[in-house]
Amino acid sequence: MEKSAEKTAIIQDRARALLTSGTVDVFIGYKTGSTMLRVTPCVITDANEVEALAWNAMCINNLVATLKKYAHQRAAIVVKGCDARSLVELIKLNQVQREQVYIVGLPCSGILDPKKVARKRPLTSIKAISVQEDRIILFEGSGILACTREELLYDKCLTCTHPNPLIADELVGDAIDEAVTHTGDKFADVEELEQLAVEERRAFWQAELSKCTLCYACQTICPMCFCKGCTVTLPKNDPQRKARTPASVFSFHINRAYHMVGRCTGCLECERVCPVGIPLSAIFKKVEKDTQELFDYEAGVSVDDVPPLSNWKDA
Amino acid sequence: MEPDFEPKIMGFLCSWCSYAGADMAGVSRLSYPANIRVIRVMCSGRIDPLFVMKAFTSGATRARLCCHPGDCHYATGNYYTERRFVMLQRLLDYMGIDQQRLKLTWVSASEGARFATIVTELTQEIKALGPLNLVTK
Ligand code: SF4
Ligand code: SF4
Ligand code: SF4
Ligand code: FES
Repeated sequence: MEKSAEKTAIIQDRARALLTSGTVDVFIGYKTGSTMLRVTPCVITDANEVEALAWNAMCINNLVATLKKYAHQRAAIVVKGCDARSLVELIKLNQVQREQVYIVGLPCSGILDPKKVARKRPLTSIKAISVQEDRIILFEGSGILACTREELLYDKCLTCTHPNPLIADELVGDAIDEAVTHTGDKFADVEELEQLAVEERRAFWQAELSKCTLCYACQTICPMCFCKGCTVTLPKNDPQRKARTPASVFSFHINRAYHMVGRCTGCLECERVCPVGIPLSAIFKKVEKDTQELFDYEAGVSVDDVPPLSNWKDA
Repeated sequence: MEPDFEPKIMGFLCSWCSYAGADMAGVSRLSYPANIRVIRVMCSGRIDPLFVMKAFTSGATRARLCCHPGDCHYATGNYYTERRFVMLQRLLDYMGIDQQRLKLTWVSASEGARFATIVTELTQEIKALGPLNLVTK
């Protein structure tokens, strides 16, 4: 806990300095809500408000998605390892100008999934959290509870290959060893699906996608969905959208997945916000896996890489 | 397999080669199944995967044809196509749309006979696969 308090203090100081000096117009970070487990994005323009900013092991939101709202301002932003990859990709695709953003990078050893926490303890009873290399400690009013990383962290944090931001103007805290966060096989569930016969996969997706309400929350939250006129979503009054036929649902998901080839960095914000719990990670990890296999390309690691579908040369 | 099943095959033909190839098939009075519906595009590089999904969700099973590698009128259009194609094909298959339903073939302007053969084979393959059932239900 001392650690997140320390990092909170550093973030607040940094925000104060950047806003006071006029280096940036906005500072995008996190704040806690009614309890420390309720974290939301926090956008600050006034140096007097920096106390609102916070950092803890519940800061899951990928703030990079917020950046498009401040396109014409100089912004400072707090990013974790995974979030930084979205930023690399947006810079590569000319959606963000590197000199317009000040990047405060947080090396990250994993974020807690509230659904998993709730299986252990009521969320409201938790007063502090300490994420360690081999375990996680939940502090309650009186006692403490030690859990494994698997028991509490988001699945993506168990297979995270880039816990340290690859792009940043400064890092808050010490770098994390990838061996700590990269403990599982990221593509295990994708491979399982790949093993099935095509009809079984069809049945699996048909069942999952039949829950989809075409609310487009997944598309709205995605930091890489920046197109002004999205060609894969349907307008509100479109009868196909209202009817939610398998055709309209399948084409939304397949088209969006295809649009994400070479762009999606696997932040999995889409899956996190889906109100009906569709395993979107299985779609986007497939995109990532194929992009690696076919084109030896990993999104969001270097601004100098040429996007795989804008390039036809083999080397 | 339904005996009366007549598949609809969407063919996106590049104007310079495969469309000309189809024309050649016609001029040579070759016969091929009427299951193919042709859409002419200026280059296979113009085929947006959105078109493919539109075809599938409107009840088609499809093919896509373009110039031979190295023969693209715009030099490299079909190389881009190839990359997009493999990606899309794998994705479709993963979502349960059999990869055999999407095909990329090269036909040149002089290959009228090749065009007729391809369409005949495709039609047979798709008849064996049966309907896609994405539109009904
Ligand atoms: S994916 Fe990695 S960087 Fe992102 S929250 Fe999890 S551990 Fe942190
Ligand atoms: S598609 Fe999902 S995982 Fe990929 S970048 Fe968008 S929100 Fe993140
Ligand atoms: S958030 Fe979930 S329900 Fe909404 S459109 Fe996306 S997949 Fe469908
Ligand atoms: S002109 Fe035929 S594929 Fe480009």
